[in-house]
Amino acid sequence: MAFKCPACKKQWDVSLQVARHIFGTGDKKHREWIESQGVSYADLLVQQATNPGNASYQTVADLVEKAQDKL
Amino acid sequence: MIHDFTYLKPGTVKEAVAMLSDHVDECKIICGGQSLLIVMRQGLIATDYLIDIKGLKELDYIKYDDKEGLKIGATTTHKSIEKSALLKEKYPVLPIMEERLASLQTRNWGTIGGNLAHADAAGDPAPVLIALDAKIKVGSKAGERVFELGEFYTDLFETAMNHEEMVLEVQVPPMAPKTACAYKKFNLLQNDMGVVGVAVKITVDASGTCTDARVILGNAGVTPVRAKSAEQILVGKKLDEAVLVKAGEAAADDADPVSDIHASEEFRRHLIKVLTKRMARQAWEQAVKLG
Amino acid sequence: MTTTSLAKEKLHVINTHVHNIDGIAKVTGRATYSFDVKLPGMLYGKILRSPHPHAKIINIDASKALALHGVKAVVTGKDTLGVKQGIWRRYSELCDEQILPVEKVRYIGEPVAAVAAITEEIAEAALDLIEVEYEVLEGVYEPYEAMKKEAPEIHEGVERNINVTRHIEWGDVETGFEQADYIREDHFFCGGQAHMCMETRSAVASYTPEGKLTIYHSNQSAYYMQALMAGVLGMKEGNVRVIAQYVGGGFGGKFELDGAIFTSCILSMKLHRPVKVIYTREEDFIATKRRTPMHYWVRTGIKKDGTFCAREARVVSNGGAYTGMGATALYLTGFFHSFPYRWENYRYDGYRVYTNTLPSTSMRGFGAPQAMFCSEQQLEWIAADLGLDPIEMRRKNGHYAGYEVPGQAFIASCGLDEAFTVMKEWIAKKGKLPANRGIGFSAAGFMSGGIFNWFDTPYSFSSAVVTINQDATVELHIGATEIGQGSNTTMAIIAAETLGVKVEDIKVHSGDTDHCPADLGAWGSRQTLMTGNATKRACEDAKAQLLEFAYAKMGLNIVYDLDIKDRWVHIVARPERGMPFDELVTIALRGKDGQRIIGRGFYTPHRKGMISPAYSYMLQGVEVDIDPETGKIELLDSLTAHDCGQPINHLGLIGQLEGAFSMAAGYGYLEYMPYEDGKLMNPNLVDYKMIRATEMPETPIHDIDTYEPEGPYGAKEAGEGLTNPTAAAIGNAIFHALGVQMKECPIRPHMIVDALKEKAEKEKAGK
Repeated sequence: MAFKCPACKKQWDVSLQVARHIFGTGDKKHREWIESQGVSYADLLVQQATNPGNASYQTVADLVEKAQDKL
Repeated sequence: MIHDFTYLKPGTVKEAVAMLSDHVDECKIICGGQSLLIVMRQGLIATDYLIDIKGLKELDYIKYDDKEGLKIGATTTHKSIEKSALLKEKYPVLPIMEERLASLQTRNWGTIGGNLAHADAAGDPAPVLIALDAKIKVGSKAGERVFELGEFYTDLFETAMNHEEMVLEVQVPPMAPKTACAYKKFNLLQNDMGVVGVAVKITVDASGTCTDARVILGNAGVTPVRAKSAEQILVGKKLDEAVLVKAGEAAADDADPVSDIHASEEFRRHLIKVLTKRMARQAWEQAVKLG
Repeated sequence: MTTTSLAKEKLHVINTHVHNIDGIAKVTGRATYSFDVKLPGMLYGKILRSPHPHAKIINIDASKALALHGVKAVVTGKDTLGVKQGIWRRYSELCDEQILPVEKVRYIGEPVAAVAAITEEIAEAALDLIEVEYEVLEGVYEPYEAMKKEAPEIHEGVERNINVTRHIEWGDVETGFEQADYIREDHFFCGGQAHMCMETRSAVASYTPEGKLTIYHSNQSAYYMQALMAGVLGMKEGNVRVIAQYVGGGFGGKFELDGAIFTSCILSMKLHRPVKVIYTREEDFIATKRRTPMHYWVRTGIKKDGTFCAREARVVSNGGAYTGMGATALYLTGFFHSFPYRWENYRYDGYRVYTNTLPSTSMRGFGAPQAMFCSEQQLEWIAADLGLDPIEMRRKNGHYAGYEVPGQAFIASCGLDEAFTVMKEWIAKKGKLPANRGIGFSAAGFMSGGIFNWFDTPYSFSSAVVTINQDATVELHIGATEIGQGSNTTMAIIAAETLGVKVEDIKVHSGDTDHCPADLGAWGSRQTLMTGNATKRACEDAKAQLLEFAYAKMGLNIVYDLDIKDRWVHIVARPERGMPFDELVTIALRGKDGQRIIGRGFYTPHRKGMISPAYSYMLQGVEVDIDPETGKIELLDSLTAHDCGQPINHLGLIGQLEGAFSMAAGYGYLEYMPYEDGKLMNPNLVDYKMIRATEMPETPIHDIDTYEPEGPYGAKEAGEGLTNPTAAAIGNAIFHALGVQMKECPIRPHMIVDALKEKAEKEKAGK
């Protein structure tokens, strides 16, 4: 199954890749989508920068998966 | 900016001390200026008169006789001391110390009198000369005074001279038989100032037992520090590794170093420990070899 | 490659020992640096700087300063257009720095006001008379602190003080790690470094009532300065002339606007008189920019046989108060962290964080020295952990000509394999070393100019115009900036080779925006390749025009090739048949109704990936003696195995590599910038330690013969890349000598002593 980016509709095979793309782009459009999901973009970014592992990416990947139906 | 000053250039010591007397608190003596110009540029010293004694030929000499010992005039450059064949023979530690004192340009222009009067705790000559039991002669219009160099330094950049006096000469007694002195500073750049420095003089008897010792620490306090407890450990012993280590530890305890960006207080003590051990060994080994 | 040897046989000027063409002017003191410029009626400017790391400017009262005899003007942020500027003209959110801030200061040393007076002394005295009322704000100095929720906000609306993030990824990193037999993770910290140019930041600006502004300025790109100053002053670029004929060093610190150029211009525009601003050494330390300090986390997965499987790296950098070139450093560190190896799976995430300290930016190596300090030490430890030969392990995974860094870069020339062989022989020759002595080496690669156009220039990246005079002397106009690296000489050599004349026939005109074509300037190791290509094309254009007349004059069958070498125009097959170059020029002039022969050339990289048109490769070996009791490091010997394609000037190459070595070794164990509450503690050359002649070991160079098809005559980068490997090489030497792993640079003595103590304690506990 392919996962689309809810902000710009680009797609990848893995939802984690979409999450990485969202952080990697980091522009207003993508930030706003994250914020619209009720989580703080900045908090997730800092968590990712300062902690081992990929917890922030996983959080966003989960949100991306949930959002697929509405796209 | 350097504060505006009037430049005075005396032709004789007599003229120099007269100028000093005329301007007492508004003047500074410059004798090479390798340290003075930096603090003037930083605005830490703002003087109205600068008396340049570097040209005083009558103070530019290195003299020695077996009775009186060594006399070095205040305007003698570091380079002259470094290159002196006489000193290489009689007090080899002095040329060795001078060779690493600073950059070539500074050694060419800076003077022993200027260095000793500046009283920088990180200066190299003072610890070595104190280890050699040197005296320092100062003069003013009122006359001359002689201090033990070990008692000359009173605080950071402060000496026992009054403001009308200037350094004239440093005097070193003849070396006792079977006596050697070693000096080393720790730094990152070869000719840079020392983070700490250690001078050790050792006298031995025919059996190789240490009969007298001086351990003087540079940049280990506001003035050169005499590590008396380290000396006590050395005297009366043959200097094996255990004694040397103990002396190093004692010297580290005697020191009162600061923490700054170049080394913490703790690391300075560590370095003093290592250098004291090494210099005591080096001086002892040299002394033992002497006839 | 056969083309290599064919091309080489023809070379007459390239790769000979050419002394810098401006060398005599420099050593006789006639070269006019910005520092030396004196104009009639010139005033002297001084800058009042913030004593606070973070504060609001409430009010500035300059009345007392203005009353001082000799003071002509005081300017503050309110006298400017308040443009937030930066080199990021395509990305306005990254343009975040007002050189004279209007509302708030963000680091100690930031300009607050500037004075112009009839003497430098009066200007300095006036600074003390300016009364500034500040509302002091809480400051934050370390990136991890600055990211905390409770940290003060340094730039309005920038959440958690995160300035930029950069991400690079290829392959499938998770799967790569699953395939690995061995995974190692390490944390590192790499400190800042001062650019330490011999010439401090300096400018003389002269604004005249005609609305024209002329600026003498010490910089790495006259064109950038012209365009940036036009932007902040609201002027047309064409009305701003920037002259940077002689520049006393740049090292990545002089292609952004600085306080000297900005305040001299603002003062000059207010007074219609020339104003000179020269930074003191202390100002250069506290108020320019610095190499980016970086916290690195590296995770690497490897198979037992040494095959590299995956690497993941995460960087948090201390950005200081403004973006500067730091965003590019954050990107390039991530890219070069993969070099010079074929990682099938690679991921990099970089985060740049604002703090109330001196801004960080590009500096020689542009992020790569930090990357290599971490990468090359970790690889050495991995090789030791797995019992692999560190050279063969690297060689097995190294780049080669024809390799593509997935989605990023194409490697057309690469001498890495031979470099490994050279290094292996050098190490073997050293034999068994005495105690406390170690040999370390490190590999690296670097770019030959960037393919970035964040500046959004509509011009070619490089251009050149060549004009042939009647007597066969040549005027070469280039926009490249000569900053002491020898680029004018390089271009003269390329021009002489191409046109077939001698180096002394070429007059190079550079560093003046009124007379030279636009060029992005001297950064990112770009001029030899890019300006070199433009110069070569311009000369080929002129030469082709001339040879038309030679064909006509000599009445040759068109199958014959004509060429010019050593001022002699001749038939290639019959070199004795021909005519002198100046005769041909005269013929051509007559044939063209007196029009001079003008050749034009330009270069902009196309279809060369994301980063650079070509890559240099290098190995640095060092032999180090360490005193285990004091931690003192002494460099005893070194070897550089270097692939820069075809060297253009062998003497210039030696100079660049020696200079890079000294700067990189200094970064490895000496150059240290400690801050306390936002204040730099050693802003002078007594307390900031750099390599001196007494610390430099011999630096023999083994030049590896490759040919870069994209470079002029096969040339690529030489001046910058060698800054990258050395710190890691020193670390590796310490590792081999003493068995300790140094994860912070500069590696200072107490760190080695502490590491040895820790090691001894561990060994004791192990027993």
